[in-house]
Amino acid sequence: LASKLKELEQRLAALEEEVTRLRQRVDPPLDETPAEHGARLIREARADQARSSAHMDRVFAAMGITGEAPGIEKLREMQREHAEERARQSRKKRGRSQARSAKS
Amino acid sequence: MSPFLLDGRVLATRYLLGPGTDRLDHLFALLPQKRLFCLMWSVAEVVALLVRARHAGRLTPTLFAATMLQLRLEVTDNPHFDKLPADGPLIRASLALLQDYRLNASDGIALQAALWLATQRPPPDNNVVLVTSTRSLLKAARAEGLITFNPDKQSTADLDALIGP
Repeated sequence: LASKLKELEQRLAALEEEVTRLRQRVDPPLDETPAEHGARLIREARADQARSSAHMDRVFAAMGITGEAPGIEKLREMQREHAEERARQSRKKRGRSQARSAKS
Repeated sequence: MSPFLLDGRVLATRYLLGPGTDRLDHLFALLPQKRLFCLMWSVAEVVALLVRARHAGRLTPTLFAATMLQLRLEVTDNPHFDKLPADGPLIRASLALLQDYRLNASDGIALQAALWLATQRPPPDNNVVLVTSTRSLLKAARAEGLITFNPDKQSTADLDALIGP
């Protein structure tokens, strides 16, 4: 009986701790110091990270984006190629417009 | 070692080519990821800018998808890069800064987050490098005693000095 009481006591203490933690998360005390605010923001950011991947799976599926990240070097290469292509098209357009102006 | 807090516009220059992109690349390459912070709100700002760029033709659908996947890899799914929540207490605390420094709402929240982040380390490491190219935010952050880095104007050598050995 004594060991059961001890176990119940420990479980109750853990539960109270968890309730306090959740209450602070839902409704942080008004008298938090800047350091407590900062610590809470970091704690919440880390707690949210665990849920983030599952959320992002849903967000990306909704946006129709699948596949792997290309890596920053490949992405830069793709961006530069696209920028060059846009510049080429812009020059071409400008040339056509100048030719039209010259004709008229 | 000071943490670096990136505002939304600066974070976007990692994913859209712009004047500060090479400095952002330098920062991502050299800074240990656990020193990188932004607001989750800033991630939304980056996505909004990417969507706008796609609709303006600055990104093809393929390039948009690749950029989003890279953002996910480096930021949203990266457990070492903390994304701070812009919650009620943070927003409320930022309100006074809006008046003091005439900041827009996002900049006020970023400044308040940087000030709170600065309380998390003992001196002399209790400073935060606020990375922004917004002039009013740079000025306000300096007035509050924070270190700043403007990737549009400062050099990679300046950045190296802030990153440290």
